[in-house]
Amino acid sequence: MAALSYLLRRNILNYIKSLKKMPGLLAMYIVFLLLIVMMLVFGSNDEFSGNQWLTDDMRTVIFAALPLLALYFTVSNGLKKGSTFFRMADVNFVFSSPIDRRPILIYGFVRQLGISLLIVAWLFFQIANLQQLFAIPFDRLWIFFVTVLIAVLYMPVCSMAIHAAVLKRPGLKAWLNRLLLGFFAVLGGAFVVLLVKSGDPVASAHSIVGSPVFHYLPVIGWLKAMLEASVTGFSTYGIVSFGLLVAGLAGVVWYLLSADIDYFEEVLTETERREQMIADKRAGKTNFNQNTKVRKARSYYRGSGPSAIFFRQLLEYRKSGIFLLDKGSILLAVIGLGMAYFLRDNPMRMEYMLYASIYLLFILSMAGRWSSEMNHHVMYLMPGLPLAKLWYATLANHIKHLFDGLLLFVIAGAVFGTPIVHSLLLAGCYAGFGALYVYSDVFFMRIFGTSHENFAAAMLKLLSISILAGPALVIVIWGAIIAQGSLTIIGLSYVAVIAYAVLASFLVMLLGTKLFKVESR
Amino acid sequence: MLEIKGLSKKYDKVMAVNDASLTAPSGEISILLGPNGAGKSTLMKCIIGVLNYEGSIAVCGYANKSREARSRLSYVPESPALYDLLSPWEHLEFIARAYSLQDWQDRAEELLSRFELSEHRDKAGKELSKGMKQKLSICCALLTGPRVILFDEPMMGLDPAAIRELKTVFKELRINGATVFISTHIIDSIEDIWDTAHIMHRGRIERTIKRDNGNTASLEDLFFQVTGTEGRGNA
Repeated sequence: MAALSYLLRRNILNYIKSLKKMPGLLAMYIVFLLLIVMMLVFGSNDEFSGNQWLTDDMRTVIFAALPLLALYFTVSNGLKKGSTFFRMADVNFVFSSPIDRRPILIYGFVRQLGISLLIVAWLFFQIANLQQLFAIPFDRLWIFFVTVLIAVLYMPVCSMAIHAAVLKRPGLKAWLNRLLLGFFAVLGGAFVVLLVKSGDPVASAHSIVGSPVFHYLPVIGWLKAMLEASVTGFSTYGIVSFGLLVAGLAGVVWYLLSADIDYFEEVLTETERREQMIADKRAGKTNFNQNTKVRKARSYYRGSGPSAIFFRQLLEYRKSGIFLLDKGSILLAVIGLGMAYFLRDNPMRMEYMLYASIYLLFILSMAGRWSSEMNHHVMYLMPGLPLAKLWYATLANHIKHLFDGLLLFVIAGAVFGTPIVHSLLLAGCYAGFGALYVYSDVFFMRIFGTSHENFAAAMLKLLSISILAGPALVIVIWGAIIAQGSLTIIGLSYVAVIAYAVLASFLVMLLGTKLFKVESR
Repeated sequence: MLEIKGLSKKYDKVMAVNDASLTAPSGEISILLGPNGAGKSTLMKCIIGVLNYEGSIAVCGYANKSREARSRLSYVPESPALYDLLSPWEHLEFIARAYSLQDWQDRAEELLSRFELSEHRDKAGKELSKGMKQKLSICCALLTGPRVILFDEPMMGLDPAAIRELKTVFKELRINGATVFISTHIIDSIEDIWDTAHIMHRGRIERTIKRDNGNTASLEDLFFQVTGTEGRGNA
């Protein structure tokens, strides 16, 4: 264990020391901490937390849905591929060493605890949203964070335990799979029956997850009770749930340790997959479609030169989805329409959908799907004007954003009776933000360069997006404020956003043409 | 000595290694040859104990997953994966602690010097080039003074000086009575040093050849003969 504690200690100390060599990164960490402090200071304002967006029933449903989702992914991952706490360096140096398997597992668990704490740290940026959505009082936010921490610790540990338990027992694997599907089939069936009776999805879901049976379900019910406690305060059951969750987690870890499972093979595949993901991320490639099944599709290359990039991207879209419809489109449609449903009585529901969708697009664009193009040497070697290369490398993204925008806003517009012109402008506005996000990558590379630490790169990208998309956001919000319900004024603000997006994108493209000259030297 | 008997490894429906048996004696350089996908890396991972399998693997007479076996075994992977934040010296210190080595510092200095890593000893792992990472991976494996040492494509990414140094190391290990087991598909890289060659194809050890048993054909010819890939190579 001394060797492993040395490893952990050195990694932490060296990381802190490395910050001295990277003052920029250190400054960003300080900014990050200041932002968290600001979130806490503003979050502690009582007026801020008093305005709840969701009803109590909706909140209960969401607080039950989150542990249910976690359950599904934990069990299905455990049945299929397990989980890992390790990196390939651990496989090569630690797994092959004479160190016992049990201390290695504890070492992995400590590493995972650190990662889980980082996930919770990011949640601090969501304090305002959490308070607005769920009306969580400031002094009970810690309960929410502790619950999330427990859940993110539970997931990999349980996945690993399930995988280890079923690996040599195909009968148990099949049985657990049936149990999982059966459980969700029962929940889904009950929901459909209640929905047919009442016609109200929230009330139907609430009557299931609010039932005493659900309340006492191991882990799921306990997590829900803890999340509820973050709003209403600790009841006796909340305290018992907390104790049960901690004891359950300790129990699963104890099982992994005491069973002395030969888990090396179980974690190897997942470790290799994770290592590949990290390598891809460092190389600027995206893992967005890594788990997507590749369909057979014929290529239709037309034109020559830089346009080949565009046709290749279209081919990739066809291979990973149905034309431009992929998981991202479906996720956007589900979240957008779900939000519109919850806000169906609000006259600004379509605008809220736009805000949610551009926020979601912002998160997805931070993964930088298109920017991996810049890592292909062919981009620099192929003949053609730099402007044409940039345009064709990003054209498929614009079409995709417009497609997703049309899909979301035209359907929502039809459901809510919104004029078609308004829906089309919303879709155009969404595509405009998409273009601004795409070209903020070019802006980022051109202004700040390409070699940065992960955290620094993320912060600089955020800064680039803020610079480029900030004015568009101001126009949208300002338009909504001064419109006072006037669709014409809101529509005009969308036209202004589209015009701004086209102009700003073109200017950044001109700026970005130098990238090719710099990189090709 | 490394002894493998009736080793089989199956991934879902694919038989990666099929009833493989071989012996790599002490004081010899044994090589495992095979085309891409022959099952070489799977076999290596089985030997170091990160994969489960059917059959038996013994390192110096101990089951390969036992503490006794692992303290006598070292492994140089095909892709050197280092700790990003640890320097070469700290990697060596970790290995020394993991293997409970005493008075390892002089040996570590010597290894860093041999592989021209001395001036990079305090750099972070992530700052090393691919070749340096491979060299450090070799240094870590040699530091423990292994009785059996496995190399998976060890020449990949090394510069000519390091390749020559590594070949010298192979010969020294042989003289010191260690078992050197090298997996590769680049025949030229080991043509002048091998004692025994095991040719693997489609998961099976198809042929074992001793250098000194009167084979007149080159190793390359024997390889193509066993794997049946010569025609494609010459096309």
